[in-house]
Amino acid sequence: MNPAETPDDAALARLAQGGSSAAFGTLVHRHHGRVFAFLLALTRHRQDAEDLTQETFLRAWDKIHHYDPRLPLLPWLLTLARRQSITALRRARPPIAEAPLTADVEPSSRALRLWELAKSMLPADTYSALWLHYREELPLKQVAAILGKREGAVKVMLHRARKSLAATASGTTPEIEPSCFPEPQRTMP
Amino acid sequence: MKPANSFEEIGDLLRSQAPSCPPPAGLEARILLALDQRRHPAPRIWWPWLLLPPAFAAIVVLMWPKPTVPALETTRNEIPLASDPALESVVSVVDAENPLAAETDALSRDALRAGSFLIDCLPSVAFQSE
Repeated sequence: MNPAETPDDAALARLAQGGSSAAFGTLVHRHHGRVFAFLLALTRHRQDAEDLTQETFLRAWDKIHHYDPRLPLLPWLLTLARRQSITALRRARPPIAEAPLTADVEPSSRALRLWELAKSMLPADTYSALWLHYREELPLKQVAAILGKREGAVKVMLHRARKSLAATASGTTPEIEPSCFPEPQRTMP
Repeated sequence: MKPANSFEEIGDLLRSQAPSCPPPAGLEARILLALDQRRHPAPRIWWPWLLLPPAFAAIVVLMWPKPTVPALETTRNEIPLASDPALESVVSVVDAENPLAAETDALSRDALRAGSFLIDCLPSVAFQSE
């Protein structure tokens, strides 16, 4: 997947800084899906991810004059999103158990099963780092900035995550929740 | 299909296909609506906060029952003065005389004496006919 920054983001951001709501609306259209996906990976709760996505863009509108158009926009949005999630955690309510998002659809490929495994066994921060680096293809430096960690810590985090995923994927199934690592559906030859 | 047992391959596998998490259908519209409400907030009605409290206070004051003051009963209790016959006779004598008469007489006498003195002090003027 291509990196988040597109050439038009800077121009749209400059227009938004000048007060153009239409330009900001375009930015919302472009990035709200990715911000939502990141927040879903972080919170693992769909309703919270929706609310936080809205709060993130409201915050971005309020703070658009703080954004430097020379830098990529998506990491800035994701940083705001993470801060909003931290603020929400401080006023946390008891978490409500939620069914997996893809409960109706079983992962049909190794990659998707691996992502499901990562989601089930990794902590939220580690899974978020995995998401940002492998799904959004952000460099480690930006991943560290978004998560508020040092680059070396993120590198170690990702290394350990890959190692544990490899060990679990190649090992026996007792470590794996059956619902999160289902058997692939065999298609008729 | 062998699972990936080398963690170096994990990264490639993760990159090869990521789960899709499509946002809810109305999320973008909801965000834009919230932004629009923030940019154009509904005008706040402020005048009730200025007019209602004084109006309420005026109503309370007008409707408040007037306190009824009970009529005060006034009585005159005349205290009888103590009577002493000896004092009453002296008081009657003093009241009968003019209190200024003695002063008037004294002043007249002083004036006569002062005049006599001045006349005696004047040199005698003898008329000498020439």
